[in-house]
Amino acid sequence: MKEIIKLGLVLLTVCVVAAFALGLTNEVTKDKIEENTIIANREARQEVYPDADDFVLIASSDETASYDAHPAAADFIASNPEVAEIYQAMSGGNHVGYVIKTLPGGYGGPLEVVIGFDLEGTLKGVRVGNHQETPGLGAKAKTPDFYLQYDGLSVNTPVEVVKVDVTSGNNEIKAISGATITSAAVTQGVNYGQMVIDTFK
Amino acid sequence: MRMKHLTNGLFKENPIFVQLLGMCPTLAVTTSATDGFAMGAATTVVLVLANIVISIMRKIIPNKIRIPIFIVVIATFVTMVGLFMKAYLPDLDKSLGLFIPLIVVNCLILARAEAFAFKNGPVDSALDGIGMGLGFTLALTILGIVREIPGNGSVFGINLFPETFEPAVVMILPAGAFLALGLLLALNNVIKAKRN
Repeated sequence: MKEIIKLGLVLLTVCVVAAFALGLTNEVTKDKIEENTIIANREARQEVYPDADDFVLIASSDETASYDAHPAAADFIASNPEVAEIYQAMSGGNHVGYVIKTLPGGYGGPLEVVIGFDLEGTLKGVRVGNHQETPGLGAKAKTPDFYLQYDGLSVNTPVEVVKVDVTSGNNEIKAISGATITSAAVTQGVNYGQMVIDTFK
Repeated sequence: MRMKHLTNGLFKENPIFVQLLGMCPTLAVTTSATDGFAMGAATTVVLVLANIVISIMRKIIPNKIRIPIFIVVIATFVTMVGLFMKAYLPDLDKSLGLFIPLIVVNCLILARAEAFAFKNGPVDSALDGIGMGLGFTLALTILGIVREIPGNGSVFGINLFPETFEPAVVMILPAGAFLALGLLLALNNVIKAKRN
């Protein structure tokens, strides 16, 4: 009995010291980590909408986020669970377009697709964020060869995915070879664009 | 005499090629030379710190509960490394963040704590940690290079071949990890057999 108490006390002491060290580390790093996250998110938006100088969150699936929600936000997010965030892209104080973050289902699970487009529906940029697609195949969605195809296309009509070379003038992109599911998923995210324009204009 | 502890881990008792310890991170993260190297470096930091602390505490750690104490010490250092990486090396964290918690269950660290740090002084334990860590890093980097060149046509992210090169994607998929490791182990055995 005595031994068990002694062992317990030793273990307790070690754990207390460990917890203290972790608390200290957390205290030192948490501000920096939060700052990094904010910068990373901001950069992701800037990349898909280079002309904009500010982004205002108007709808989010994160219920703890604090922002001025658009009146249509709650209904839209509830009926479109793949849309995670919608921002108004601002330039010189004017509303010029939208940046949305969607989570369409890819080959290895949901993948993060950030899309920027103006009020007319012309795509400004598309980027793929975190994903679990196959390296060398679906993961190529993160390469410029793939995502630059979307620039200048329109979301007024759904963007089509084709397996052959695209005909210029058509609203279509060429799928990554061997990763049609990933290509279709990214495009599915892009095609939420028109719905966002219609709902939030 | 002490240098032996340092060099042991590099070749003679290389954790991967000889002891076959810590296979999970080895196979999971070596899809590129950079990731392999970074994982090895992170593991080395944890290994050295854990070895030193456990060695200092070895006289007050009761034998019966040494394993839970090892785990607490290792998990603490892994979490600290993870947090520091998130704060100061965010790019590295993006590609490796998912695998950092795996270091806790890397049996290499537990094995060195049990087999070496618990029986030797802090200086020797630190040297052992550095040696084993470098050996682990070396092995992971080699594995990363061997997989990245055919699998992605690049090494440390630098493209080696013209655009027409069609990479053997299988080498950076999980199956490629086993293929590359098997070939490297065979090579290692051939070299050893020749020497004797």
